[in-house]
Amino acid sequence: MLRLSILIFTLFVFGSAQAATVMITGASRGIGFEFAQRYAERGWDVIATARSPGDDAELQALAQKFDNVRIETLDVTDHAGIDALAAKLEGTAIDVLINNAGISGGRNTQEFGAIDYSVFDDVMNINVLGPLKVTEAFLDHVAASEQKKIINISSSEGRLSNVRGARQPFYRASKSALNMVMKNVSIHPEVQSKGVIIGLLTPGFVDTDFTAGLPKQLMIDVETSVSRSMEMIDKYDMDMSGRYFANTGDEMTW
Amino acid sequence: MKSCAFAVAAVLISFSAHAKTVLVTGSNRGIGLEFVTQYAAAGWDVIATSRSPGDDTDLQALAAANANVKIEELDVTDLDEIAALAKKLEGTAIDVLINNAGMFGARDGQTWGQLDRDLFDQVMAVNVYGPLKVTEAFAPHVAASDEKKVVVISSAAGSIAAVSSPPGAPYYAISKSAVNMAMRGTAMRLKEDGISVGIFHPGGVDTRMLREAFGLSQAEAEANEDYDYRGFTPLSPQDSVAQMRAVITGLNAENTGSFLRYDGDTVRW
Repeated sequence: MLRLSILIFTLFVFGSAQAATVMITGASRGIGFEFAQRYAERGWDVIATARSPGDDAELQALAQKFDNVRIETLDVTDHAGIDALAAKLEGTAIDVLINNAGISGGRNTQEFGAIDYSVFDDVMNINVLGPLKVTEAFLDHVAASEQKKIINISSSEGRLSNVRGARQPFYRASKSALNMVMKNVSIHPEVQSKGVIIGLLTPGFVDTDFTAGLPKQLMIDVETSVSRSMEMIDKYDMDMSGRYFANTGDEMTW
Repeated sequence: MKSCAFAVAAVLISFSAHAKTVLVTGSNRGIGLEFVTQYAAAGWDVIATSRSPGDDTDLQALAAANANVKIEELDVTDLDEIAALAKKLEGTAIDVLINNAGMFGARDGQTWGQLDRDLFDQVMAVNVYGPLKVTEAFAPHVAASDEKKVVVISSAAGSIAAVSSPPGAPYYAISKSAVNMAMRGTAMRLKEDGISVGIFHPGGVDTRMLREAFGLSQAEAEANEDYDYRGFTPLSPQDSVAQMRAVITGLNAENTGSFLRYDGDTVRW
């Protein structure tokens, strides 16, 4: 009898430890999709969000294949929509929230002398204010989990201490701005009192739609990038919160 | 006769050496107004821009007293207005372009739990997109000058490395990190044209904006010129601007794109 209750207890503990949940924004393609697939394979519950998931055949197929993948519609510039999803998921603990959704704003549109200012608001709203708003709305879901991690996909392009060349001022400014806002969030009293870890990770130069047209010989494939990122996410602890790491493990200067 | 010709030549030379031009955005108050005052006193031609100069009595008085101060209307978020002014000033060499216009943004719209998207767009437009667009539009005027310098008034609030407590106004901090990056990249591009770019932290200067940073609303900050800053001793605009002018003189191809304090010390990113 005692043995049986120990067995039941053990199953219960292991069972709950395995049911970790990850939520990923921008999960329809590229790095976000790869995260969804890999965490699904790992047996995690995956909340994969995308702006218009009805159009995302790959993501739909993934959700068909894995019972543990659930798709939700989320546009990170739609603050009411973010609040609505947070309310819908009330009571769901999210171990790892990955703020992955982002845009580059294009390259030709950001050439000095011919900068197209119409892309500015989208770049800043999707890459900077979006992650801040999502973090704010889902803080309690993350705080209620075991792992309590909010991981932001930044970029080495946001690194002020290592600027070579004038390319993509909006995109790069947005990543410096994301680093700033997440460092701020990491020391916010509410975030600290809830024990939530804030990560900033650079994925490397990854072969996705995002980098289409750039030299492939310098790129890593998305599987490699996401493997490294998942390893880093596993390692992320409170001491690393608010710091800026390459997914290869090296800390970066701002 | 000969000595007279020398005298004329000397006057001509010294005149042409002195006829430098500076363009200052947001020149109706605070640091911007002080730049106008000091460059005008130094004999420079000053193009002083502001969003609605008709309302700016201090700036109007300065222009009335100084023939070398010319006022132009410019909203740094208005692309058409920027393009029109650049066209109007075609052929005018601008030695120093000072991107000074900036805003702090009401705290209510940028605190945890009350993020206001419209305020975010406005702060980012004025503080990031504005300086980049103005620099892009006036780069040919600057390239045609002797000094070839572009300045942006940023803030140590944008130093990611220096963050030690959460700011009361995250949008302002975000915008300053962002403009630092935008101008640092632009500095690389402008180096090809011999233009040097300085990114400045002006210090904690006794202005309406500093009072906003201390938690006063814009209306309170406007009214409360004798605010005590809770024991903090601010720099005067005169002191900050005099020191920045000296550092601007020393901007060159080596230090272009650096983040500099008003006294020339480097600020961490």
